[in-house]
Amino acid sequence: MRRISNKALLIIFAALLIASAVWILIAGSIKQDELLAEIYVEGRLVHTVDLSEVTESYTINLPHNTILVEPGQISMSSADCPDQLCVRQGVIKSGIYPIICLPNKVEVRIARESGIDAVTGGRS
Amino acid sequence: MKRRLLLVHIVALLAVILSSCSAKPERAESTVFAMDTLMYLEVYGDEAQATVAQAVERLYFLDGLLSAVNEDSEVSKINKSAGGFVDVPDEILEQLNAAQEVSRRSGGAFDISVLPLVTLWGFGTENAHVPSDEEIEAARRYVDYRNIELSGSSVKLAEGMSITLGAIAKGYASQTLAELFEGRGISSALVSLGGNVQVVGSKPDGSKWRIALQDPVNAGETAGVLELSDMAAVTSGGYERYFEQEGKIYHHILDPKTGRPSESGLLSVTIVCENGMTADALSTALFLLGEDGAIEYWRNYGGFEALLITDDGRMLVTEGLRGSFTQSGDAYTLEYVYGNGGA
Repeated sequence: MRRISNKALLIIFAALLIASAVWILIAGSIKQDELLAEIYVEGRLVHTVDLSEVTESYTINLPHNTILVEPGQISMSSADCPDQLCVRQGVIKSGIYPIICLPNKVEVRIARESGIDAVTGGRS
Repeated sequence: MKRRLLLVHIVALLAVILSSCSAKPERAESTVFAMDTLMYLEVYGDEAQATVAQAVERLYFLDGLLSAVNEDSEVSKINKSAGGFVDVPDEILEQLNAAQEVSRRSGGAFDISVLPLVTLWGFGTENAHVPSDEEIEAARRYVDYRNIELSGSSVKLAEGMSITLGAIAKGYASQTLAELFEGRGISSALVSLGGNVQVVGSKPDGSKWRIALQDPVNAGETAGVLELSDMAAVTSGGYERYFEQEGKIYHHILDPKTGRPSESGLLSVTIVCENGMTADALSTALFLLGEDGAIEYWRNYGGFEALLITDDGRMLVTEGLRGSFTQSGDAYTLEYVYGNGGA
């Protein structure tokens, strides 16, 4: 059997290392600048908007709620629910705390912020 | 020698590359509204999709069973039958037993028979208002967990009483789902039922789940992060559900002793323990007990860890959370709490 030289092995090793580094970089950079907001009604995704591409503000009108979409941020501008908690929450720009209108079953959330899987808070 | 080392490295590198490309487990998630809150499920593994579907079905089933609002629920049946015994399904019996234990241990700070007070205050309805002292006293007469009688699989409330499982049902639901996942061989899952978080196993990449703890003062901020596996984390706080009357804020956690929103000096209580149902009941109990009572409860009974945020800016963390809790920012002064045998 022909032996592979040490040099060849070293080249294979280096090539693999570089290839994997490139792969990690590519995989990591895809959609990095995207700020995807999702709007759910009764648990169903009804609308998706990339906030990073919004240049002019506009509203999305749902039967009981109005959502204000602005460059880089999103908020519930009005709702016909009694508690108005969702309106009082103001704008969100990141993924940790979604805006939730419980009475009308509307949720606005931004795709998960890196590193946090869930939130425990006094909602319950 | 050098050559062998190099070969080992190549093989190891290849193994890492191959595993990161191929072995991605099936992932499924779902968002549902049930039990008066928003629920989020995330499951990894074989048959993740089917498992999530089964879990969602289970949640709707429990919602119908446990609701205090739905006239046909099993809980409503218990309330309508006050004065006499009524047979209850296992799902409710388990919660009643757990609730009664926490009630006894907390000296009645935790009490599922607060429904007359909850109804009177009208939290979450358009009718939310501050009742008169007379109204509160009248409702309080029917609040006493000691008048809930459990016998075998039946329960009897004293005349005029009514119960709500609101402070335990979501924890029961998350515990039920965690057991369902484990039964189906799922080794990685997360359930978030309106602030009740329960995780099964670790994340698919083997790292622990990272659970943010919401800042009770600035609800858009994070007070810290818990890194957990096979654990439930439940928080009770007055800052999410409340109403305002004449400039004063009235939050929804009612103290059965006073018939009014708790003024225990705590802004939020987070409980970390393996059982989601226990965590849920304890978060409310310790919130109502206040700082001293909460720490005493933890020292006496244990079996869980706690994180208390006080209204004078302190964050009290029981020693078992050292290593899994990291504070974010410096809004609170962090203090560790030790058990009887501790420093």
